[in-house]
Amino acid sequence: MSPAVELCAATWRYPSQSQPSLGPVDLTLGPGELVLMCGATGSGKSTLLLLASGLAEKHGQGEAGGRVTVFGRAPAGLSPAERAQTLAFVGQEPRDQLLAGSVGDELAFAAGAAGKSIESAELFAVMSRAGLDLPLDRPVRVLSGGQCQRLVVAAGLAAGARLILLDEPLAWLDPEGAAALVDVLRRLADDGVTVLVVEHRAELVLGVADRVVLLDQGRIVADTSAAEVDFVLLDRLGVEHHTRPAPASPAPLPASSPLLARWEALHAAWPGGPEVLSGVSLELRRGERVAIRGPNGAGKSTLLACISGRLGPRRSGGPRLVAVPQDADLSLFCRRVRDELEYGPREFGLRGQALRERVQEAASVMGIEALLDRPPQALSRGQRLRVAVAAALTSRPELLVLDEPSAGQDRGQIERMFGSIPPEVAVVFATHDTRLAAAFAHRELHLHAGRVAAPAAAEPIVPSGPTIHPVSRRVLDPRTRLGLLGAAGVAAVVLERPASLLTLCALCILAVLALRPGWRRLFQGALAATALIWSTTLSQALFYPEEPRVALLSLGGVSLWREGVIHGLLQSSRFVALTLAGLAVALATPPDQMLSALLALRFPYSPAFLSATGLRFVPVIAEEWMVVRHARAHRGRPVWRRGVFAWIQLELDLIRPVVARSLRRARMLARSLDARGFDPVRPPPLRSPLKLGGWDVALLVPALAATLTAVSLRLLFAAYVGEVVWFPSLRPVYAWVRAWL
Amino acid sequence: MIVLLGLAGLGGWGCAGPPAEPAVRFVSAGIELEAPTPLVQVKIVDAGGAAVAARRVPSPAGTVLIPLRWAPGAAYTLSMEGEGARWETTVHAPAEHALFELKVQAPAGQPARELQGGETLSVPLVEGAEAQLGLLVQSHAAGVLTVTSPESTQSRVVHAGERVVELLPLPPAGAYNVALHSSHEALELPFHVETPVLSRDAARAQLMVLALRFPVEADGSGDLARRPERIDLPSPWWSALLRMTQLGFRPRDVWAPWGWAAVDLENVTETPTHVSVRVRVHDPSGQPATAFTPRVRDGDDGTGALSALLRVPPRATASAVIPIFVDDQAVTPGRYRLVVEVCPLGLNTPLHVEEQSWVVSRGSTWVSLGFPFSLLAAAAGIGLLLRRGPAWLARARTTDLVTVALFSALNYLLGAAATVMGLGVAAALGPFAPLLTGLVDDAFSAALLVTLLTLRPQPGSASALIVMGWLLRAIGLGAFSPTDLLYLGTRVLYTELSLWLFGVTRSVEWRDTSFVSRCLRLGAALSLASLASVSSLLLFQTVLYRLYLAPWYVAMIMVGPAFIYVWLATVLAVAFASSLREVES
Repeated sequence: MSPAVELCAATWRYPSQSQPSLGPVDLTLGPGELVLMCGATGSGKSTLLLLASGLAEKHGQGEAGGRVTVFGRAPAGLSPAERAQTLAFVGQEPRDQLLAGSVGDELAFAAGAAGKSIESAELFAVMSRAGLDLPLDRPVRVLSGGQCQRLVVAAGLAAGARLILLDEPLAWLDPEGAAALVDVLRRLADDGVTVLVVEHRAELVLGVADRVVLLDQGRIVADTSAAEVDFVLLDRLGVEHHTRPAPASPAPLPASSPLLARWEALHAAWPGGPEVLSGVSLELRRGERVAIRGPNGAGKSTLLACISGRLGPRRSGGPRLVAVPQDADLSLFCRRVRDELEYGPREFGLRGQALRERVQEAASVMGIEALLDRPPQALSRGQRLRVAVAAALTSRPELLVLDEPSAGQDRGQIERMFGSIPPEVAVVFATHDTRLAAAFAHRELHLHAGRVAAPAAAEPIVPSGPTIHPVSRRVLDPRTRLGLLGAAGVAAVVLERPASLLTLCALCILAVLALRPGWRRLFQGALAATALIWSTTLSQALFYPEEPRVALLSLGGVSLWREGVIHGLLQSSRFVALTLAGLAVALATPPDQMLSALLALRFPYSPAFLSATGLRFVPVIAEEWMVVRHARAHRGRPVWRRGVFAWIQLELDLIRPVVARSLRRARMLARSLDARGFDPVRPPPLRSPLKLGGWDVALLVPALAATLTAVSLRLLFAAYVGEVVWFPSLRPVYAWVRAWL
Repeated sequence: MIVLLGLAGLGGWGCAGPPAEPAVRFVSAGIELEAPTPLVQVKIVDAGGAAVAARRVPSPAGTVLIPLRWAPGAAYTLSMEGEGARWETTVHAPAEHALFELKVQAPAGQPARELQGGETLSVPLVEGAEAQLGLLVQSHAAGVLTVTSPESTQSRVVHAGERVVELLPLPPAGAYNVALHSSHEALELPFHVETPVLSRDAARAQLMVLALRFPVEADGSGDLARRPERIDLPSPWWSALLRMTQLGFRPRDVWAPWGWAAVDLENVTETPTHVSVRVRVHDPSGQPATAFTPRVRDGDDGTGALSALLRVPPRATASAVIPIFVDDQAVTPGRYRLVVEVCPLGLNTPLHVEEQSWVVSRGSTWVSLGFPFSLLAAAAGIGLLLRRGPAWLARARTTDLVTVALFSALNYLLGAAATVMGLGVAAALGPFAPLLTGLVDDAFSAALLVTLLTLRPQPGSASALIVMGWLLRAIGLGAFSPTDLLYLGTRVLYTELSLWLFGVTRSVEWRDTSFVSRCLRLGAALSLASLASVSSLLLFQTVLYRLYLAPWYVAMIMVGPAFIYVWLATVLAVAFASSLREVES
């Protein structure tokens, strides 16, 4: 029987480097083995996973050497479907790997791409193997990080994968979520699935792993059973493990340390979502370090958002603070690291030698002197975090707010970074890392379900997430909705008589009202319609050129024409009809249904699929953009307090981290897609094939017939008006078109 | 509902009661038909079943003469097709031709009608007015023709087939006679003429002008293709094209009228009235507009007016349908006045003067040429996508596709922000809102495109961003209008073409050139594409959504959001895009 994975003198070399960054590496994994791979940041762990999955050549800009086989075949030569049937790849970011809108669609995509059954019973079976118990139509956006990771594992199982490769899957998970995932991996290995896990938090996996492979500077330095692992070597590589001595507690806070800030009875909710924080209070003294802990969804990031002023009531006169978000990239918006470090002090008027000295000092403390002329977004995750903290420190904050600073970082780096923060700076940080909290926090604040709780009370929480789309009403097939929308769009162009246009407009208003969108959306719709009517009417009142016309108002050389107002009011009904019809369809049809409709209508698969995927990330990108703007706001003056050009330049700069983050996300998503057998020209089967019912036919047939008739008649009439052709015997038809269309 | 209404309308039309039968008259020149609705087609078949005449009437008319040498006493079957009606009838020709046929114009200028012996003709005249009686004699045999009036008797020799026209002054009234003596037989047709005299006031009171209608068809029915009280001239290129291709149903020679104006008169008395209806078109200065000078023989009295005689029957209405000539080359757009004078027969002093304001406009060459061109460009763009799209997709790496999708999501987000902002701004600025929202929407789109092209300078990258952007809007906001699809096609075509022309997608070396060079290349390519795309968008809005756009506004949009903003975004984004290249590598 072929080994699950076999690497013989495997290497990987980047074009800019003369020596391979990985290898030569020899490694063999047998079927049903659970192998933990550890090593310092940059040791080549992720590269090895990519090589083993056959994705390195597809996604990396480098050159592979040696021989790599998976179950006896070269993974790079597998077809998309074969790759999906063979292996699953689980990355670090839980949400950046999910492609579909619901749990069922996610699993069905993976199974369908591999040519497997997408029956619900089968999907439930694989979910059970992955330790998930969720309804198939549960939207993926409301899943916790741990559930997301297990869902990606389940997707691989649904495709029939016999090898699961995981790249730091526990980085963002709370201890309970991480333990659940590790338990699932063990059971899968027991069932014969080969599991290779790359993880910094080795302590969580060591207890269940069959083997431990240690990598250092691109080479395997140890390959032993878990029982024989060399903890000294683990220590040297900065890998967290349970036998490591407990870190020393930080020096106690001087009793004379003054009160820096106080937050009392904080209540907070994200827009459109439920309350996340309920009555949390916090007092902070100068130089104090407080670790916020608790399971995923407990409200840690929300509390940090309240402290930094991003959420809740604005405070004035609080401490000068700088917040470094969970993704440190989102606080880096300058072209060079040096600019990033200079930005804050410059905004507060520091120039010349003093500025250079402050930048040099911060760079030296964080160990990033060599990176000063590089773009911050091009650095590694750890380097970006250090740059973000250094940039924060150059602004001389009294309070530093850090969200999950240790995620994906090796122990040595995170300790160096914390050790470099001046003692007079208070730090509030959210973390799942017990050791980090113990080593650097004067005290811990445990949260559970938005309240301060005792540590034992902490249990995983499934966040409910904001509602983006109302519950879909499947009265009509989405194709029917699109058909009706298209018909309305054509009618808006073809119709000309006031009566017919107003009828169309009324029908579209009725369609929106039939969806019972609620007062808020109704108000928004009415506001949009009013703005459209006003804008069109005003423009036509200004531009109306036809005689005869009567000026309602003349100012200088500009007149508002009465006939233009009437014309504008009438023409705006086209836009109102179009907008409301679109709104009705968008309200009633979630993106996955819209995607199904587009695919069923033979729309090219990959643009439609990727657009729907992109749409799912819109709220995430919007949130990231707000995070960037907020992170910048702590480091300088308001954006509008500068010249127009500088303002535009800064606004564009603020998009840089979001774009850079999108590039990284694109890479992750693409990796996930390729691992799951994505074929840009071959759509996988749909989980719930669409069906046209009686209502669909009853609405669609007359609507399309009416539209076709109207178009034909309009063209006939246009040929008459254009003096091209006319049929005397159709005079009554012409008269009807003129009177009614 | 519209269709149901239409079907009901068509059904109603189809189920209308049977129309009256046409009148058939055998005259020396052929067979004259007078139908209740304008005739379109006539076919005549003799007793042996042979088709002896078949005519399609180019300009449908109520009275049609079909030239034919009919055989006396023969039977003919006539199949006639009118507007919305069809008849078939069999008639017998008279046993023999009469010696002569007499038609009368009472007064002269009215349509001639056949006269029966012993008939009394009434020609009311306003006091002081003079008129003429027109006699049209068609002789079928050689002989002496004698025309007798109360004041004179005139004789002359006529030949077989000769046509004689006699104009006799009115008044006086009295007995008239027309006689033809041939070598072996003679025929006389006596008739009587009355000339009741009305005072001017009585004449004015008995006649009412009901309406001036313009434009109408030659038969007085409304012209369905044209707007009332307007002369909308097509662009010169369109007229030239129709002339060159011989397409079109309207006569294109300079002697043909542009259209007709109808004057509806009502006679409220028991006596028929004859009037002269005179129309003239005045320019804004009040002078007769030379561009409307009638081009009809004897129609112009030297003042640019065109006259028609009209008989208004007692207790009835009648319409004078008068051709309107327009010199396409000489007429200038603007306001004109149609002046209609209703004069009693034989007098120049009008009884009624009515005026109507007209507007003359000419189709825009830019719009009329640009719209079909943009439609073609849209079709070409969509064709390009359909033809080359699959190859672009197959060649692209998944990372590239996902990058484009996420960039589209970013674009969508900013677009949505601009839309929300636009609603607020539009409430204050109306049509000027794009100047502000364009800073977010157009400039950011351009910046994102610059970034994408710097990262992926391949054919299809820009198209993928455009298509996915559209799809995102479609899926997220339901923006599925046909105009969106057309705009998508033009954007794809112009952008890909422009990028290819400026070498952006032909090589990757330009990415390593100087900052200025990259700015110039990308700025020129994107601004050219933007100008072309925005022009198309404005054209689509103008034609499909019937929006008027002032030239200064078009210029403002083209210079601002379509050009300057794109350049601004390019300059700002080039450096940004280069730094992202480093991020990617």
